[in-house]
Amino acid sequence: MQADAIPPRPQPAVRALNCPSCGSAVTLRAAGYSVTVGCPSCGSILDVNDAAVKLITEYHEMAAGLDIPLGTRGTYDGIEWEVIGHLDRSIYGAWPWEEYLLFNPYYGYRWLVTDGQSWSFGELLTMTPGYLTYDTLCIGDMEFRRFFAEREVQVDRVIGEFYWRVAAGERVASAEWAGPGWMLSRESNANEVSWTLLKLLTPAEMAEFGVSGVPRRPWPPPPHMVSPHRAWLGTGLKVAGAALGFLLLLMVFFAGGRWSDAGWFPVSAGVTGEQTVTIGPLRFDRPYQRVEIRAEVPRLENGWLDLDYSLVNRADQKVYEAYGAAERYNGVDSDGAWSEGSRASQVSMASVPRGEYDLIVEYRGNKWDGGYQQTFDGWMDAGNAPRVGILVRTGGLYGANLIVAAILLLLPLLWGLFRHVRFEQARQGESDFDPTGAAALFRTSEDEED
Amino acid sequence: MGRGTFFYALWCLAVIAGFLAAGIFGYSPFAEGGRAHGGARAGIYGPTHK
Amino acid sequence: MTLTLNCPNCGAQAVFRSPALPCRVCDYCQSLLVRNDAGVSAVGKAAALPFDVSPVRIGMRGRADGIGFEVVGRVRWAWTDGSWNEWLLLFQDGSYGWLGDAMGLFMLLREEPVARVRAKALRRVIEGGEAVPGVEAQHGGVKYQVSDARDVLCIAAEGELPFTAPPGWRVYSVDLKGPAGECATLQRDRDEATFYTGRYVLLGDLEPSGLRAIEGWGMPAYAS
Repeated sequence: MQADAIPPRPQPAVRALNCPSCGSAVTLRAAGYSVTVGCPSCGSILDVNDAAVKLITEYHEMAAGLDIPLGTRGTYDGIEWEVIGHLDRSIYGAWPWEEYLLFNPYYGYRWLVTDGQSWSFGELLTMTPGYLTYDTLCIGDMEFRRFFAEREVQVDRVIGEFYWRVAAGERVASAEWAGPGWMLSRESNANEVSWTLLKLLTPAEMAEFGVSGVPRRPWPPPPHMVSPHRAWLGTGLKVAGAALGFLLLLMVFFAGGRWSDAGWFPVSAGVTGEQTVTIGPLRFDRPYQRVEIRAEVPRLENGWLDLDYSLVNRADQKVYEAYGAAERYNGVDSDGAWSEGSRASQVSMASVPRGEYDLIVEYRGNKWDGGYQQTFDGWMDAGNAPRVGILVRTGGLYGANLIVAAILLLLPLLWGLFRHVRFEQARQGESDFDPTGAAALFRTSEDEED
Repeated sequence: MGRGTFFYALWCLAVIAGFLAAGIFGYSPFAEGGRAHGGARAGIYGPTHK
Repeated sequence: MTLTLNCPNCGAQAVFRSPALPCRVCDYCQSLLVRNDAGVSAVGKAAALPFDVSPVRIGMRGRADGIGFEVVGRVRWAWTDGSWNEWLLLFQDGSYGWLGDAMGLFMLLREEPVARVRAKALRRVIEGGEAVPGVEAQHGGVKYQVSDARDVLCIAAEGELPFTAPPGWRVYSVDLKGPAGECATLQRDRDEATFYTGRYVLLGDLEPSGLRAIEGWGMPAYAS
C-alpha cells in the first residue's frame, strides 16, 4: 500500500481553552477564524487571535440561559449549522433583539436573529444591492422597501466566539429594508459597510434548532412576513369570479318562460268594492316552480289598483297567495310636473307544486284625490274604460337569490380583505416610513398625523 | 393550494348548491307570495312625493 | 517540469512543481527553501501553522473558470483583529492564483501587473501612501471601494509559494470590494507592490475534491 493512499486523519474540530478570568472550560468551535470569545460562564471577553488567550474585558456575571445553548446543532435547508456565538443587541438599550452566530467549516457563517417572537436566517452578502427607486432596493428580482431608517445600534452582551473583535458597547449604524419573506440589513461604521440578507423562518424550521413555541402568527407581524390573507385573497377572487360567472350562466340558461295572456277585465267606477275574476285552469308541469303574475293597468293615473291573487290547487285546494298593487300619480308643484309609480304590478309566488290551479284575482280600483274631496271618478271614469290585464308565466330563477348568493360569495373575501388590511397596517405600523399598498387604505385622519 | 383557498372554494360550492336548490324548488326568501298561512296585510297608499 | 530536490536542512524530499513557484516550505522541518541554478538553499524557517478548521488543505483539487487546479501552498496572515489563509492554487495551464479564506468567505484572486493600475487612490498606495476606507477606485471597468487598509503580518506558511514568506514579514494591505462580488487586494512591502483582482466565490462552485475532513462534520453535498 502506498503511503499517500492512506486518507488523512480528520482534522479535530475544536480547540479547548480555559477562561483566564473564571477558569471554566471554553470550547473554540471555529479555530483559526474566531478572534473574540465571550466566556459562556462569566461573560468575560477573551482574545483568541494568538495562541495565547488574553483577557480583554473581565465580567463576573451569571450566564443567562439562552434559547439555543452554544454548541447546539441544527439543520437548515439541508446544511448543518452549529451555534457558536450569541449577541444581545439594542438601540441604546431599547428595542432589544438577539443574534446567534452559526458556523459550518464548509459553508462559513450564518446568523439566527430574533426579536423574541419571530426568527430569521441571515447571510452576509458579498455584493451590494442596487437602488430600484429612492425607497426600494433590489437583488436580482427580489425587491425590498425601506422599513427602518438608519439609527445607531449597540452590542449589549457577548457570549461565545466571533470572527471579529466584538465587545459590549460596540456601535454601528443600521438600516433595514423589507420584502415578502426577506429583509435586507445594512450595517456600517467608519471603515466598513456590510449587507445581510435575512429570511423569515417558520416554527418548524426553528424546531430544528430546538426552539419550540415560535408563534405561527406573531403580532405585530415582523417586517418581512407575508400576509397570510393575501395568497388566498388572490385565488379567492378568481374562485368567486368563476362561481359568479357560473351563477350568471344559470340565470341566462334557466330564464323564465313566455308570458301568457290570461285575459283583460274591466275596472268599475265609483265605490263598487272588490271585483273578483277566476282564471283557469292553469297547468304547472314542474315538481315546483316560481309563478309570476303581472297586472297591467294602461289607463291608471292618480290612483291605485289593489290586487289579491290566490292560486288554488284544484286537486287538494291548497292556496298560494300574493298581493300586488299598481300605483301611478302625477301632479305639478313649484319644481314643475312630476309623476311616480307604475301602471303595472308584478309579483311572484315561490315553490308552487305541480298541478292544475285556478287563479282568483280580487282587485279594487282606487283614486287619489290629492287631499281634496273630488267628486269625479278620475281614471276610473266609465268613459275612460279602465281595465286590468293579467299575465302569467312560470320558471326562471330569482334575481334576488343571485344577489344573496353574490353577497354570500363575497363576504369571506371582504373578511379576508379586512384582515389583510389589518395585518398590513400592523406590519407597516412598525416601520419608520409611511405605509403603502393595502396598509395605506382605510386610514383615519389620526393616522395621517402620525 | 392553501387551506384558506380550499375552504373558500368549499364555501363557494355550498353557495352554488344553495342557489341551485332554491332554483329547483322555485324558492326565494324575497318572493312576494307563496303558500298561504293566513294573516292580514296592511298597506298605505298615496304618493310619497314631497 | 516537476523537480524533486532534497532539503538542505533535513534531507527530506522537496518537490517543486512549477518554475513560477521557486519557493517552498519543507514539509518536515519547516525550512524556507528557495530553488536556484545551484539547486536549493534554505533561507530561514517558517513558523508552525496554528490550529484552524479551514476546509481547504494542500492537495485539494478543484476547477475555476473551466481550468483545473490543485492547492499547493498557503500563507497565513494576521492583523491586529484576526487572521486568515491565502491558499495558492496551481492551475493546469501552469498559471497560479490565490484562494483567500477569511471570515468564512472565499475569494478567488489572480495577480495583475501593478503597471496596469491607473486609479489614483491605488497609485498613491503603490508609491508609498495610505488608502482611506470608502474611497472609490476604478479598475478594469469595475468601480471598487476601499473596504479595508492596514498592516498585516505573515505568521506562517506551508507548501510551494511564488515568494518566500518568512514569519514576521510585514505588508501594507488594501482590500477593495466591487458592487457585484468583485474584490481586489493591493499589497505593498518595503520593496514592491503586488495587485490581485478577482471575486467572491462559494467553495462549492469550485467543484472541490479532497477537502479536509473535520471531526464531527459531514462532508458537504458539493464535495465530489
